[in-house]
Amino acid sequence: MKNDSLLIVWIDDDLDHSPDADILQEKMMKFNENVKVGFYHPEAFRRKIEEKEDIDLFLVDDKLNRHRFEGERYRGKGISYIGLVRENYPDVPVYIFSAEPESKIYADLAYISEREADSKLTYDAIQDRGHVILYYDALDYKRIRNTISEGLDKLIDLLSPPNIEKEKIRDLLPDILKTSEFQGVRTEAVAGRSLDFATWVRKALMKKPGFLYDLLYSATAIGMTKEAFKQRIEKFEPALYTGIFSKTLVDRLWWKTSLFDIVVEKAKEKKENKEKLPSDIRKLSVYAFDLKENDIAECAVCKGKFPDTVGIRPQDGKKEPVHYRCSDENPEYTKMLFFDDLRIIKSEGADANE
Amino acid sequence: MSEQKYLAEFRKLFIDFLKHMHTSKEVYTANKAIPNYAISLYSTLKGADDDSWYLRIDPPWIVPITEDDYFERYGSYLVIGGEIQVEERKLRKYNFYVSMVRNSNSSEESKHGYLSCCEKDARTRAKSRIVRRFHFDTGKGIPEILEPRSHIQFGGICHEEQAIREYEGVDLHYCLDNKIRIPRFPYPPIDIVILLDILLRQFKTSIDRSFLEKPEWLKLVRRSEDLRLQRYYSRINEYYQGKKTNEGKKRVKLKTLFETLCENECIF
Repeated sequence: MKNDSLLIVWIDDDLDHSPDADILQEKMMKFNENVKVGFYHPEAFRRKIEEKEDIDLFLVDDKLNRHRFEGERYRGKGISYIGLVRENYPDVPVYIFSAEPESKIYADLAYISEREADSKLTYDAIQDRGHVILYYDALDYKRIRNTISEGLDKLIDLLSPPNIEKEKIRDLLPDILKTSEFQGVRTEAVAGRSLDFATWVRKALMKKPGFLYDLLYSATAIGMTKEAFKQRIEKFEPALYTGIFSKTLVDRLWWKTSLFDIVVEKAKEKKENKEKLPSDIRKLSVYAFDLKENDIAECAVCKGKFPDTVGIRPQDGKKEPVHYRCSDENPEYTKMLFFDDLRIIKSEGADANE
Repeated sequence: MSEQKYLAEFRKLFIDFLKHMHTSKEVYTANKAIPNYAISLYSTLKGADDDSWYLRIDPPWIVPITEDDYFERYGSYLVIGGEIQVEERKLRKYNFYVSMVRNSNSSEESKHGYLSCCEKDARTRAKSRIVRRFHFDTGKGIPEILEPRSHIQFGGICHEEQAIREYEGVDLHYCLDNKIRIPRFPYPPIDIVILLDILLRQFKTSIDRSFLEKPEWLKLVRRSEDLRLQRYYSRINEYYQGKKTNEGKKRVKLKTLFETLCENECIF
């Protein structure tokens, strides 16, 4: 198969969905004409599962036991089928979908852990944005598979991180990726490791603030309100996360340290001789971007300027900028080295200093 | 080494120090605020010119003291900060400080006989007390007074008072009078790298001790010692060499070591 070709396999017992797979393929061919979506009844694919085709992504229906194929019915659910796929294709991502509406999908697919399926989608999402999600994700998984034998540094380069973050990222990667038998060889020992890397990127790096920040965290980190950040958003483009899986992100992410570099560069451009600039990046940002009083981020509790981080309001789960001193540690939040904690915002009536 | 090269090396040392504080697992585990502040300072310092740069550790870094019955019982911590300003290749500002803050629970502590004089008096009793403060400075604060260029001061103006109040509570007691600015004792010009190393070797803190044994850290400390301490001790050595040469010569007025260390041209 050509290097830019992609094969996505759609497993579904409802053959009425087959035309949707064709539509999906047509839409994806606008990005790349070497894309194919193969539609299979679970029993039909089971018969050929050991052929080991060059498949890039599986899309599996949650319910597979309603319709027969040549008189045979698959007796399990999507989750058990994933197990079958994993045994034979340990490096290929499996996305599971449910025909239930979005509001029900989390409940409907809740029993499937993040380790079991690489992503969960609704049928509506497949019809709406499926061609984008599946095409770009499959491409990125393929990039990982093609890079994994070249060692960790090359894998980390797929994230395009700032230099200062590379060593930390290397430290945090799952141990299995750092073992000597894995380094530089593509053997049975590496089977499934590309998915380990992808899972870490998607479920840790991109999900938990620390290296990458969403709009609110980014704005707060450089001392701005969300609105002030949005007004200057094009200035922060060099800090945008453009690594693997960035094309299918719902909300954009920025590298924290690159944002800081942008503030410093901007301040340098503006600086006149002998001016003493603040060394706190949040205060430097006020100078660099001519921030007005109401452009400066404000703590949700004490209303003081320059909150340190983002916290969560216990009453409604809303995230807001907050000082460390105006927030408490969140005992329910799993702490991870080099990632920020999601702190609990103290109630506004309470004295933040107590 | 020329002054220009010296200050450039100094800036490089701080850049590497801040990078280390940002990437150290031990620091991250102890207090996430420190690496977050460190990376912000790293970015600004890295972006500055060698000729003019400014580093201000503010808000100060707070490091809780652990495994010490007297300090840990009610929560005590070190508050570390300071600033350096280089302007047109000249060191204009240089000071670092450490405050030790101890919280108290007067009724509980009286049982153990720990009460300090401030705690015994209801008028001065506070939740938090600054029990020690050391200020390391280079420069002359009061021109008309003979004072050493590089010195240590006990107490001093507590610039970090507001930051401590914000961290811990408004109820803070500092009885090492803010207005007392002397005496200043000659002291080697230590910077935040050496200061942190000395503190972490003497106090058990939330930063795991393994931090101190990491080759990267030891390298930073040695670089800092070479940059900051070597010139100071060479100066003292020169003084003794000169003293030996000039001793007994009637026309040469011998200065004391203290006077020598107070001279304006004595720059560290």
